[in-house]
Amino acid sequence: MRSTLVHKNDHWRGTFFAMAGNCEILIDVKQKTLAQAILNCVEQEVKRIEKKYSRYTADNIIYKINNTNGRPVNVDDETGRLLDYANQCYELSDGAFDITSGVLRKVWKFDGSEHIPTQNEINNILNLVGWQKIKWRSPELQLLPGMQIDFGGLGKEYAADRAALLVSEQFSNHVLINLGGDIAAAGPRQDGRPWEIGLQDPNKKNKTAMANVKLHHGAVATSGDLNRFLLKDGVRYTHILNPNTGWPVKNAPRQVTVIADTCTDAGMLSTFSILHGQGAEDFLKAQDVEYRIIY
Amino acid sequence: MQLKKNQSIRAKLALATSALLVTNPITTLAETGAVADNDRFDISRLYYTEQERVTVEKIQASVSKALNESNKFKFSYVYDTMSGASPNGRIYNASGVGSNITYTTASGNANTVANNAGGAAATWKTTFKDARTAFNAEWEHALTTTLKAVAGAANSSENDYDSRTYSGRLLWDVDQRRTTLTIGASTNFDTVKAIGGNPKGGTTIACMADTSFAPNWLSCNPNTIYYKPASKVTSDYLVGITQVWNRNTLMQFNVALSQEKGYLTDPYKQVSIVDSQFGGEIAIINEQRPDTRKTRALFYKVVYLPTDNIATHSSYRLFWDDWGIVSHTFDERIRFNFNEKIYIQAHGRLHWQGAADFFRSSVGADVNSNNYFANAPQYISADSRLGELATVTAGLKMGYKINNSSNISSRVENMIQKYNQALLPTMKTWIVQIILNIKF
Repeated sequence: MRSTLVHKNDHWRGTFFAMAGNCEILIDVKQKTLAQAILNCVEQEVKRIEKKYSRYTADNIIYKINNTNGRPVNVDDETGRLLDYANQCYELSDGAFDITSGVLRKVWKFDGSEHIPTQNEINNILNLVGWQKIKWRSPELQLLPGMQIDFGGLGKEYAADRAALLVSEQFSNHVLINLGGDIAAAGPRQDGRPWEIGLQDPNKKNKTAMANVKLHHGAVATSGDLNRFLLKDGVRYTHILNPNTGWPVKNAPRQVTVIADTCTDAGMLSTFSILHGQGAEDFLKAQDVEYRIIY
Repeated sequence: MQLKKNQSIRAKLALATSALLVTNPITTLAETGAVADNDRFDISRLYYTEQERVTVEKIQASVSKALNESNKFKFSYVYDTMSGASPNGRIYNASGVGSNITYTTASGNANTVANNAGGAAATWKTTFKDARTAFNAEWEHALTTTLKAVAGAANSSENDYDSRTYSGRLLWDVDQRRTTLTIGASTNFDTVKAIGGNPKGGTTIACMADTSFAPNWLSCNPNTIYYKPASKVTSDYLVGITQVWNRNTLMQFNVALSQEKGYLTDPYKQVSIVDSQFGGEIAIINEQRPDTRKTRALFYKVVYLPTDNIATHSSYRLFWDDWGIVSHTFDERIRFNFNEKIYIQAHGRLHWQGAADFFRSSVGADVNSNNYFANAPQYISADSRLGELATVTAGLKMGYKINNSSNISSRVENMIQKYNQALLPTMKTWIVQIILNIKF
């Protein structure tokens, strides 16, 4: 799919499709050639990261790691930094954020249906979950046979930050990057004004913004999704799973939006808060960040 | 769920994210001793002038190049020309023995001149003119992703002094790369080859056989012995830690030990023997320093970024040695980024140094002893650099980013050095430098 670039009022709007969503780039520069160069730069970086870390590609590093069958594998510098980061998030969340928990999706299908897996099915999969079972000594990574990792929990946020960084280094910082709701501003508008970001209320069918966020720089990320859940006996199961129990987090907010310095930080804080279940808001209050929470 | 409730993890998370995005502004300011990151070329021109003293013009060029992920090289070149005159330690006394004496010094064409313009502040100075060429090569090799080794070799040569240095250090990143541990060692092999030979320390250069002040002095014969080129070996050891505390704060702590052996005397420095009854200079001897020296230094530095546009570097260094010198240095740099292209950096430095145990501005001779040198200790120096002194430096640097791959900057500094010696005037120095960096 090709990207598009159109002029809207006083800025350029570029769009392309990547990471399973629509990506929108707002560019506050005059010349079209510059806007096009910025859009190309963002698209290239986002697609590079998507290709490198997608779970659905057979020739990338994730595929290589997940198909080692217990043998150690050497990873490149960028992947090493992501693993270091995942390790720190695992520690900071006391094991709640775990990049090995993706295999639980083999038994949990969050399609809005009533299908709940049996405890037996869950227990079998749980043997393959646990970052502490992995040997990670940079640059060497060794998984137990059958274990898998994925960076789905931070890939989009990381891509937004990387793209914002690249664009501000190479072109201009009057750019806002929105990768399907994960947003990073390379800097403010040309005249110093902030970008205005509308937040949707997932409880309402129409897509009017329930609140606006003004962003000079920094980022916004949202976790939770009204379309990814299971409903059984009146209990709504979120798609965020507790890697210790193998079950979805109970009483979790439906959606948490966090505003932070980087999109990766914002994404992690919103994910961590949902992992706290009903304690989500207390957690966010303690972080001293701006947030919106919807139950 | 065992998540820590109501405990802020935001700062730790932000730090981890910075490492992930390789954007941590603070880590780029760490000076761990690693070879510069990028493929880059630096060239600078420096002009240093001490009022009524030494002038140095320096050209420096360096190139850093990463051959691959795990090997980097840096090569630098320095060319200095030095000229002027520096105090040689003697007391100025117009009718003293030195009035008639010419000295051969560096480059063979210099002599000792009197700066008598300042009256009571008059000093003897040794003039010189010399050029120095220096090369330095460093190779950094990543042994693992967290352990780097740097090996270096340097050579410096000028008319009357040669120096060769070999160095090695290990840089180990631990604690998710928030901490870098450094251990290093280097050895210098220096050759001192003063024009005309290196004088044996403590020997007599000149003396008056009979003076109007003290007619009873016995006759005295100059007995300076000149050596062929002498050698000096210095071994340095360093252990350091650089630690990122949070997104805005970084600290560095180093311990340095050094051991020097060999001809540590300065061949151009002299000491006056003064008639303690009448006050005139009656003899001149060559200074003599011990042939070993052990130095110790502790260095502590904090880099703090109060906002995205301001960076402060604050450091303190404590130095002491077995010659009895203790020094304290406070250094502060504050950088303001006005916009993406222009920054200004203010620099202030305060330095105080206590005198070496064997420092004497002159030695008094007792008329009744019939011996000029009875009071001269075994080790003696009147070199103002070993005396008590205080230095204040203030400077300003301005930088401009020409484009994404090149920067130009310029600095001007004024240094004032005051000595605790009545006869030595305060030294005023200006330093002007222009630097160009190009990434390629």
